Amino acid sequence: MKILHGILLLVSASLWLTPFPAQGEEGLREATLTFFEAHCYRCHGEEKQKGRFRLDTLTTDVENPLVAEKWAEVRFRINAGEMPPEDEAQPTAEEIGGVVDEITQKIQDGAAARMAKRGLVNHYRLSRQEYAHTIYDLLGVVFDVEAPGAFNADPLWHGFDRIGALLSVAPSHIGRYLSAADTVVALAFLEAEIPSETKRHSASEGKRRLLQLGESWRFHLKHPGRYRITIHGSGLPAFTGRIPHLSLWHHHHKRSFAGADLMGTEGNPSTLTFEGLFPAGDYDVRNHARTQRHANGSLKLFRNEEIDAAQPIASLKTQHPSPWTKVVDDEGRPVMPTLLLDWIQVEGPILTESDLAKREGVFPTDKTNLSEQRNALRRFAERAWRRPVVESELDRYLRFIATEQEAGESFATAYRSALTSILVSRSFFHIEMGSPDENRLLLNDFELANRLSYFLWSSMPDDLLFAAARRGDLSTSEGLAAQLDRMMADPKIERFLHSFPKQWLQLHRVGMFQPDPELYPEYDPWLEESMRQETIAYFTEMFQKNLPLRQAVDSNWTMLNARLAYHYGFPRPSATGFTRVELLPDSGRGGILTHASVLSLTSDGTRHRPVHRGAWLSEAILAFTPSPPPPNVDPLEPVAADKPKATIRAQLEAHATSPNCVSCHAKIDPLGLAFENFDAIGRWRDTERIREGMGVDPPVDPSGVLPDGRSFANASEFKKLLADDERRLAKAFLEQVATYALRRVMTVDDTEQLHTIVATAGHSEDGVKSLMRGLVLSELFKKR
Amino acid sequence: MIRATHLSVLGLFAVISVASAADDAKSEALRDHIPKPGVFPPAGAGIHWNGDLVMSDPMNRRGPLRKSQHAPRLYFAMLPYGMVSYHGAPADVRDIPLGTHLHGRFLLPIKGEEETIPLTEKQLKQSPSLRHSHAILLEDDVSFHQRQGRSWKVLGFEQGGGPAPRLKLSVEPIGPEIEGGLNKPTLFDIDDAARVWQKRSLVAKEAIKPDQEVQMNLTWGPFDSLAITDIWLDNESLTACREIQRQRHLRLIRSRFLPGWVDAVKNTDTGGGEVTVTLFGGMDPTLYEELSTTPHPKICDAATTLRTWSYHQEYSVRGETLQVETLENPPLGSSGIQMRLQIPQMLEGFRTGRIVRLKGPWTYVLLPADEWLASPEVFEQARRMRLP
Repeated sequence: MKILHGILLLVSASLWLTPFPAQGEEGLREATLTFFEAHCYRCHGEEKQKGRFRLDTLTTDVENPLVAEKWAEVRFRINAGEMPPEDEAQPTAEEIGGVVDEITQKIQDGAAARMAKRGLVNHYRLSRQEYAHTIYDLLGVVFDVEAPGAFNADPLWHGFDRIGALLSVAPSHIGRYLSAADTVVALAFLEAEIPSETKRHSASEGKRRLLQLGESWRFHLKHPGRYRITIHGSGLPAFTGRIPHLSLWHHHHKRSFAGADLMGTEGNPSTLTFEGLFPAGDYDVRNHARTQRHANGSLKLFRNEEIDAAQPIASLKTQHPSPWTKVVDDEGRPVMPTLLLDWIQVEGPILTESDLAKREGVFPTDKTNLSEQRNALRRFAERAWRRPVVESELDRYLRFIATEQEAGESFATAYRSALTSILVSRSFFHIEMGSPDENRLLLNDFELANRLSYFLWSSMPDDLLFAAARRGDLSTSEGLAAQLDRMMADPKIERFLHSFPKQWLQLHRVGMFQPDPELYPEYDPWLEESMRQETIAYFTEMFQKNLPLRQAVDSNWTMLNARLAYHYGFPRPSATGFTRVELLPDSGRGGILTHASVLSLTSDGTRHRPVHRGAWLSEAILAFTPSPPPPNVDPLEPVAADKPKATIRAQLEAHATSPNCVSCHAKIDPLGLAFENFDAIGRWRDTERIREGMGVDPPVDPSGVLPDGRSFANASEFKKLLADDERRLAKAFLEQVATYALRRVMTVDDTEQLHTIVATAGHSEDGVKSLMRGLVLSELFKKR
Repeated sequence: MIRATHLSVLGLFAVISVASAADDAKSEALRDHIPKPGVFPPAGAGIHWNGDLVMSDPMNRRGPLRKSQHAPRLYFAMLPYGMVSYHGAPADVRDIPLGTHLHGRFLLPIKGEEETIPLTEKQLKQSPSLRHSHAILLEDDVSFHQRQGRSWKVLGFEQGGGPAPRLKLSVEPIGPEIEGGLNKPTLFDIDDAARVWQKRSLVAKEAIKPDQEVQMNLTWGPFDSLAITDIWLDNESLTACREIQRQRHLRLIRSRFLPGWVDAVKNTDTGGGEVTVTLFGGMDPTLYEELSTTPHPKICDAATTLRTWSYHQEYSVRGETLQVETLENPPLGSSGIQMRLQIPQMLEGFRTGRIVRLKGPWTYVLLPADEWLASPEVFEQARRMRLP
C-alpha cells in the first residue's frame, strides 16, 4: 500500500483536508452511504477528522488519481478490518463486501479516464549512475559522474533514485550534459592515445610502511579508466584476531573502489591485485577504519611511518614515553589490525578489446565519404538513443559537420562535435516511452528493450537485445523470456544486484547518522561498508539461488565477511570476502531484518529508534508507509541523572499518551520493538545501555502484539509470523521491484495486476527470480 | 630450679637476641628498599637527609643538598611520586630558592633508574648513604616541622662572641621529638637578611619577642650553624605565604597536569581501551577534585621526571571517566585516588607502571620548549643527571 502514500507524498500531502465540493459521495448506493453514516462519519465527518481525514466530503470523481488513491485507502482500511475500530460496532461481512465491491467498481470505472489523462510521451531521465553505465557500454569510456562539477546526486524517493517524476531536467543539467559529453567524446576519440604505463611506488630501501587503522599511502591516477593495481605487503591481525582490511579509497569521492582483507604474515607477505574501472584522482591505500585525527585536524596520531624491514614488529615497544600510538601490546602482538606494505604497482589505463569494439565504426575512416559518415552517425545515434532513427534526424548532424568544416574546423573536430550533440540530445539522457502522435497503452519493442535493460543492467540494451527488438521477439512471451534469462545470466546483472537492494532497503541511510565514537569506538567505515555488503550479498544469494521470499525475513543463514563475523561475535569465516554462513538456532540472526545494516539505518548516532525501525519495516518490507507523526511532538528526553534508568521502550510507553498517538504507535511500534535485542549498530544485547540515570542498565523487552492480535516473545518469533504471511510479502516485494523497474510509484491502477502476478508467481516455493520473471512477463511491465 | 631459671633466662635472652637481629634486618631492608614501578614504597622506607639546596635542575626535578661545609653533596632526583612542600603548601623543585635548608626522605633508585644519579665508586665508598638518591619527600623547615606538629618558642636574642661574633635567636622546640629534627633548645643566626613576617607584612626583627611561638625557614650559616631566612610570628602571616605558594602550585599543575601512574591497561583492537591510573600524592586537594569530577579528562605520556612530550596538551588523548575510587590511608607518594578512563587512542606509554599526566578542566597552555621531551635523544639525555 505504499502506492497510496507514494502518490500523496509526491503530489500533495494535504489531501486529507482538501475541501472537495460538497457533492459528497454522489452516485454511491444508499446502502453504502448508510454504512458510512453508521460506522465512519462519527470520527471522519463534520464533527471530527481523526487522522486528519474526512470521508463525508470526499468526492467520487475517481478520474482524479488522487481521489482514486483516497478511495483505495478507504477500501483497504475497511477490507483489512482496521475500520471501524474493534471497540466500535462492527458491520457484517456482507455489508463490508458490498461497500468494498462498490468502491472497487468506482475505482475501476475511472481507470481508463486516468490513463487517458497521461501525457502521450513519458520521459524518464537517467540517474547519474545509469548515465555512467550507459556511457561505458556505449563507448567503453569511464566517466566519473561523481567528480566535482559533474552531476549532482539524484533525488531519492523512499531510497529509489530513478523515479521519473523526481528526475526533472533543469537548464543547469544541459550545461553539465554538454560538458560531460565533451569529455566522453574526447576520451573515446583522442587525437593521441593515452599510453598504458606501469608505475611502482615502493617504501624506501630496507623499509616497510606501517599503517595503523585509518592510515593510508597515497597514489594518483591521472586518467579515468581500467587499471590493474597490485599491492604487496603483510596484514597483521590484532591481538584479538581481528584482521586488517585494505581498501582503495578515493580521496574526493570519500568511498572505497576496491578492497580485500590482507592476510600475509610479517615474514611472508602476500600480493593483492585489483582490476577494474577507476575514476581519476587521488587514491589512499588505506587500512580501512575510522581515521583518528587530532581535534585541530593537523596531527595524525595513529602510526603511518616507515619502519626498518629487518626489525620485527614485536620489538616496537619503546622504553620511553612518546606521543605516538601504541603498536604492540606487552606480549608484542599488534594492538590493532596493522598493515605493513612494501609497494603499490599501478598499471593502466588498460584498453580491452571489448572496449575498443564499442568504438568501432563510430568514426568514419573516409572523411569525404558522406555515405560512410551517415552510416557511422546512424549506428552511433541508434545505440545512443536506443531506438531506430529516421534519416531526417541525421541530416541536421551532417549539415552541422559540413558547416563546421566550412568555418575552418577540421573534419575530426567537427565530427566529434556532432557526436557530442548526439549525447546531449534528450533522447540520450532520457528513456522515452510513448509516441507524440498516438496515445498508446503498451510499449513498443524498443521501449520494452530499454525498460528491461535499465531494469536489469541500469544501462542501454546490448546488440543482442536491440536485434531482438528489431525482430519483434520481445512482443512474444517466449522471446521476452529468452532475453530475460540471458540478461539475468549476464555479468552486468551485478548492477541490479547491487543497486536494487540498496534502493529498496534504503541502505543509503546506513551511516547517515555517524555513531558517536565515544559510545561505539568499534564502528568504522569498513564495518559500515560491510554492513551494506552483507545485505547486498544476501539478496544476491537469494536471487542467484532463486530462494523463496520468506527467507528475506527469516532464515538460518547469512552472508558474512571477517569484519561482520567479528562484529556479531561469530567465528571468522574460513573464506575471504563474503561467504554464506549457516547460523545456529540461538544466534539471534537470520534474514535481512537482523542485518546490522538495517538495524543501524533505523538508529541515530547514539541510540536505536524502535519507532523508526517499525516505520522502516512497514515501508520497505510491507510496502505500507505509515502516516507521518503530527507536528510539534516532544522528543524523548535523555534520562535525567537523578532518575532511575529506563529503556527507550519504557520511555515511549510513557510518552504516547494521546489516543491518536496510541492508535498509530500500536501499529508501528511492535514491528520495531521486536528488535530490542539489537543496539544502534546492530550488536546483540540483553540490557540497554543508558548513560545517565540511577541504577543498573535495564533489561530489554523484545515482546509485542501485532495489530491483528498475534503475539510474539522476541525477534525470532516475530520473523516467523511475518514470514508466514507469504502473499503479503510477495505483493510488497513486487511493488518495490516494479517501482524500480517501471521508474514510477505504483498506483491504485496497478494493484490488480500486482495481485495477478503474485497469484501466478508468488507461491511459497517460488523465489525472488521467479517473482521478477513474473513481473517482466506481465502486462504491467509492458504498459507504458 | 636454679638451673631451670638459668636456662629460662638464657632462652629469653636468645629470643630477644633473635628478635633484635630480626628487627635490625627488617630495619635494614626498609632502609634499603628498592622501589618498583607501579608500587608505592612501604612506610618508613629509606633514610632521612637534610641540607641546603645548592643547585637545581627544575625541568628534571633534581638537585644536590649540602649538609655541611665539608660533607659531600647528596645528588638527588625526585621519585615520580616524590612530593615537595614549601611554606607548608604543595610545591615543585622549581619553587624552592637555592640555599633553602631542606629535609627529605631518600630511597634507593627505582628499578631501572640506577643510572639517573651517576656516582663513582670512590663517592660511594666515602659515603654509602649517597646511594639513597631518590627523594620521596622534600620539605623546607616550616613544612617539615609544622607537618609533624612542631614549632619553636622564642627564648630571646643572644649576641655571640669569638672570632666571628653574630646575633643569635635562642629558641626551644614545642611539640613531639621528630626524626631528623632539632629536638633541643637551639641558637640560630639572625641578621637583617632574615624576613620577619607578622600578619601580612614584613616587620623588623625587633618585633620578635620572648615566649612567642614561631615557625622558621633556615639556611647554612658560617661554621656550620643554621641561619634564619624567614620567621613567622603568627599564623596569619604563615597562612598568607602558604596561600601564595599554593597558588603557584595550582598554576603549575594546571598547566603541566596531575601526574600518576598506570595500574592497569585494557587494550581494544580499535586502538583505544581503558586505562586505570593512580594519581600521585602531595598535590592540592582542589586539583584532585577538579580532575576527578571532570567527565572528559585528557591523558598524556610522561617520563619518570614527569616531563611530557612536545605539545603535551595536543598530544593528549581525551578520555571518558568511567570510575573514580578513593583509598583510605594511602601510602606515602599516593593520593589514594584511582581513576579508570576509557580512551579512543592508546599511546605507547600507556603501560602498567608507566607515568602519565592527566588534564582536568583547565585552560589551554603551551609549555616552554625546553621543558619538552622533544625527541628520543632529549629523553636519553635527560635520563642521567649531569653533575658539575
